[in-house]
Amino acid sequence: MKSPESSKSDQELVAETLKDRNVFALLVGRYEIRLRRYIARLGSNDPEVVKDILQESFIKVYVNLNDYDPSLSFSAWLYRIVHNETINHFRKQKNRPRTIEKEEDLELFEKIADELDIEEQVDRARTEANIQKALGGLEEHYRDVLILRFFEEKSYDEISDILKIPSGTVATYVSRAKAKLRDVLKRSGINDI
Amino acid sequence: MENFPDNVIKEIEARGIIPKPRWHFLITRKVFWLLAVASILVGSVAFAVADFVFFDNDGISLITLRDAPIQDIVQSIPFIWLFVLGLFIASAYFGFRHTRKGYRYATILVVSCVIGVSIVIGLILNALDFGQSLHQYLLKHTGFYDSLIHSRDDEMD
Repeated sequence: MKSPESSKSDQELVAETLKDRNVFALLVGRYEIRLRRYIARLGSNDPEVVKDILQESFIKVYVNLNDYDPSLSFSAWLYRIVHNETINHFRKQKNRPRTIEKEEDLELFEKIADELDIEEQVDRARTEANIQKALGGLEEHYRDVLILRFFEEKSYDEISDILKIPSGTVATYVSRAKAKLRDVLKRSGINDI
Repeated sequence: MENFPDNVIKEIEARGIIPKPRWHFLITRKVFWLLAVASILVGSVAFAVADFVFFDNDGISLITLRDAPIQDIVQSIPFIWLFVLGLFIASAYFGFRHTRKGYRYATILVVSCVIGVSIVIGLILNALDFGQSLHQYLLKHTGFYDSLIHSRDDEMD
């Protein structure tokens, strides 16, 4: 049976957290799995590092709860903080891994292949492997936008709020990133587009 | 098995963390708005003086602009004021970009609006002789301004 808290909106839980910090655990629980996966997709493959980044992110969220603007989706605001915390971690390490290797993401590579109008007759497995490789070779801003669009399934407006760039720029990045991916695949002889 | 949400709460308690008060964020946001507005006003003042120096003080009009020797035109351009205008356009953009939803607008749109507003306010200020007053005040009361700006006043002296 669902508890009454679990049916509450994020905004309601934020308001209640400001009165009782234990309510914050509900928000953490609601987003924990999604955000662990997101941090891993951004490049962190070590579960301990992912946990540390996520914990620090949630602490930042708690500290800045009064800065949350209810006209934005809480999810976008949360993703923004997690994104910045993860990128800061990579900057401190002076290293950002360029691969996305989670098995559960394989079907998402297939989805990207569909988006790129990859022709059916080519070997899908090989294509997806190449997309995975090509994604790692993209510039960070293109990769970040593609991860949010295709892996996290965010709208352009949400991506705009997460990365703090105009929606038009998000659309441009998605379009350019797809063109670059097509180009890489073309050069590798996978696609005839 | 570890319970991550509970661990986060325990960590918050252990570090004695509390949410920053709302006024802290209100002030931060107001500071950026203030920076944007103040920068536009200073930029407008710079444009008003530049407009006065180029068109009024140096006697160049839109009609004579076509026939005037290029050297005269270049010498009459008040580069220092245009530099100040550029600096405060950048500052206004920086301030606006850091407001809560400033990131949603394209750079070209924000910069164009800042330039447009600065020009309109600058023209109004110049129509009220503010550009002339400030130019003459600086010439009279500062030693450095005269050397920074080429003025026909020098040639007339």
